[in-house]
Amino acid sequence: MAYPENASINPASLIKEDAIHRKIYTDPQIFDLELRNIFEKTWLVVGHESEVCRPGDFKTLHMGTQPIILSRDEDGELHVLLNSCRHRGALVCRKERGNTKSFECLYHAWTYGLDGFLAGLPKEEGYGPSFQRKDIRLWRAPRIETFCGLIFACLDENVMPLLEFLGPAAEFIEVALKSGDAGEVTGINEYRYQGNWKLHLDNTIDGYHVRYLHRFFSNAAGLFTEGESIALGNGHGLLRWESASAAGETGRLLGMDKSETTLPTNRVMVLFPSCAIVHVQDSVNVRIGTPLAPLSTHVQAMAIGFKNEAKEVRQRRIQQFAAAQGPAGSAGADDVEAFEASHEGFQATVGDVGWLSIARGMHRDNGSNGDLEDDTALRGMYQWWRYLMAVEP
Amino acid sequence: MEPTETPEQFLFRSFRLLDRGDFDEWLLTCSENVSIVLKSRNNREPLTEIALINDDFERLRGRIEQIKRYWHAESPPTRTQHSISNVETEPHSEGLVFVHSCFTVVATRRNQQDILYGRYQDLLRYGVKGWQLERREAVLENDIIERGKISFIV
Repeated sequence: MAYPENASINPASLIKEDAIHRKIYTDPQIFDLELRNIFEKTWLVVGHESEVCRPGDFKTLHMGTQPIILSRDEDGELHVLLNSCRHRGALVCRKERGNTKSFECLYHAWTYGLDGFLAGLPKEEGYGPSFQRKDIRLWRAPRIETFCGLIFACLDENVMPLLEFLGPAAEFIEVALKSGDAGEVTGINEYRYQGNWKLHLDNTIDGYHVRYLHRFFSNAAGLFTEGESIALGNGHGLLRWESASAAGETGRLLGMDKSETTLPTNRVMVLFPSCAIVHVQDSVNVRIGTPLAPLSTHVQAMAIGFKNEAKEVRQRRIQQFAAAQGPAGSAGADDVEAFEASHEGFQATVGDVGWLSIARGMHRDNGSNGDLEDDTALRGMYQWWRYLMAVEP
Repeated sequence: MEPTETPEQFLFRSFRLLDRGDFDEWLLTCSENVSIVLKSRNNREPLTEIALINDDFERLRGRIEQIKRYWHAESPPTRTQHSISNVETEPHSEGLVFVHSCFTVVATRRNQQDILYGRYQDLLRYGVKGWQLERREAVLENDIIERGKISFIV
């Protein structure tokens, strides 16, 4: 095993075919290794093109725990820059988003262009004749690509090509995010939860919980029917089920009875490790999860609409997102309640409680396709986690 | 017909009902045409941007059903205290008045505390049932929803 010998935990030993150990959600050493082996090594979703559509547009974010600026320069090129001054290390941008010509460090006014090059600094002559300002640039992520409006970046040059990374997931991203007209972000809900970053991904591809955690939501006849759990490879996973409009009293109380669904099939997908795409009825949203600490996660849930769509369609998307998936939504609020209950339950470590089951449907799936309520996609995700974590950082 | 309470007194009373958990009584303070929209400060466009809450009377009934019976996130229930200040009223038209106010909702549950704050822009109607809430446009000023969920009425 290539895992460093001085480490006290071997991550590969925490994943079995049918079970995962709760330490993967709580252990600080595992968290540090996840940052290095996963978040700093693979493609992450950093935003949507519509967020930075004009020259000079920028937003700040984190890739893993690395502070990042996503910017579009005067020529329209996208840059993913490390938000740390080359002089004394302070953030050079402290705004969430905006439009600018440059990023000026507050501390000593070193000023960088949208492409990260050092454009100027006060009293440059003080650094002597060998100082080469033109060679100084904010560290830039070596890989950046877009797909169906999503912007992906990787901090490691040697990552596989984006399309290879996405594999069969690419087709499902196209279905959710490309509906003729260009997609655009129609608003972002930002929230934190107390619990590990993997919990929101687990939840996305866990079809078994829906009827029990979301009692009101799943009471609406037709919302949750027969379907599949699919391991898409490279840690990605998908649940899909046939859609019907939500009938009955509950459907009416959720405002989901009037929907003319844009697609015959609902899909929820994990793009490991940074993103979940949720497409239920008319609501499409992309959730970017960022690990803050082993037990704390930041989520940006971007709702997606499409340019030139009818007002009623946009209204229905907005209303369904609020009623179901948002933080005050029927399903959304209880998902977070479950993350916190899991997080608190994981504090139980004595006795024989270490292992958590991912065994559902193992006897009947074919390894990649299972029943909607099986753990097929979850098993695929954790085998990939095990593979990435076993590599020496 | 002269109102027996001021718009401000009406709002105080309605929040008392809410904080006491008298949801059915509270619902009577809302008109059957009510619209309650809660937006975060980043998503203010009413028609084209998402809301946290976007309820008409039916969906509000659904929300109350979930609070009372269904939401695990409300079992045990959140204890809330709604306060409003800086109340300004502005006549709208016959029987209707605009009320602007600042709100703070302190929410406590399972030893965790959340403070939500922002502004209400309310349209109140005076009729045979007294004052009723016709429309509430609330803007949440918090940068981030710290506890990840809002399973109570703001």
